[in-house]
Amino acid sequence: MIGVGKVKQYGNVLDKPLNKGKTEVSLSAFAFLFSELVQYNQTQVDNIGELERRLEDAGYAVGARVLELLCHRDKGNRRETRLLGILSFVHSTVWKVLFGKVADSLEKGTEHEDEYMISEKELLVNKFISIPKDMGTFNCGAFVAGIVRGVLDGAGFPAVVTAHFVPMEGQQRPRTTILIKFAEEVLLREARLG
Amino acid sequence: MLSISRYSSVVEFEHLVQSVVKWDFRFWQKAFGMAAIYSLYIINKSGGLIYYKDYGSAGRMDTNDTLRVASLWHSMHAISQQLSPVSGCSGIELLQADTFDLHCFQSLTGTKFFAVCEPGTQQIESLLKYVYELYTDYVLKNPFYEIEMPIRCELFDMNLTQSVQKDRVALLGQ
Repeated sequence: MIGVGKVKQYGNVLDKPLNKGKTEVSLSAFAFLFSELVQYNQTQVDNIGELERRLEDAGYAVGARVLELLCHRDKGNRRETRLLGILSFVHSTVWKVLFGKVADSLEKGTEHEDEYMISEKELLVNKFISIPKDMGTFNCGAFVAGIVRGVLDGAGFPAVVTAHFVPMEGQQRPRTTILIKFAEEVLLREARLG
Repeated sequence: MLSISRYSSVVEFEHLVQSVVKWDFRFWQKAFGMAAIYSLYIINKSGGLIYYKDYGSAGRMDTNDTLRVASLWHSMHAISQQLSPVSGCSGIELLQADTFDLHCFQSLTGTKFFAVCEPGTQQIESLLKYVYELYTDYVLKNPFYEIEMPIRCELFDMNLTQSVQKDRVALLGQ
């Protein structure tokens, strides 16, 4: 019969399997797009705090969608309910899908119970970016912090997530740390679950 | 003696003869292991200097002089395209003098990278192409860099220093 090819025809588009698609995108293409995102936001704001917030909001939208996609595709629709579970999900699965490698390290904060840190030698988004001296502590990694916040929020672990530069002795470029501070309710729930 | 060469196929033969004659002198110069780059300039398409780095201990210039040299070279480069007896000339690639060589690389967008180096230094062309790659990576992808403005990018400086050091070590090691 004409029109019936080798590809199996699905009656409903929702029945089609969710394939992985192209797992690689040109780094240069992404770098230019991200650079334009930062420049565009710079024209819309008056100060650096605003700029960070805007980048974070952009990342938040990405995070929410990435969570849905990965839960369905990679985890078989299983939901994480424990703190360490969701943190290792972010640290390995999300990082692997977005940046091609797992994050360098995941640490628990020593000073406060509700703080966790994901560290990276050099965030992919910051690879070609040199922050001018007059911008102080601004970090374009705020975009990645937004992604993490989006994932955590969607999974039911509300948190405040920020990106910081941590200078290291013996290295010219500082490490980047994503600091995650969970809300009160998360810790109470975690304590209840035992 | 100043000779502007390598802008036309007619002159290339003469250059070949010249270089064979000069080879003797340069060969001995290389044999003593000295081959170094004195300074590196980057100029934008309107001729303004956007980056200057000097490596040699001789011939240090102050900012105003470097700006003048840059715009001078830009004009010479443009004039040479008009002067060429053969059509389709892309400008001066190499300027050879008694005490220095000046290699110039022009990108498709009109940004010129040129380096002043010791006579007879090899592989400056590939160094200039590599600097162009660094420029496209660490300057053009930086959201805080305004096009055609002076380059103030930390990553660009860092990578440039690393690559020139490497080159120098490689050249001196021969």
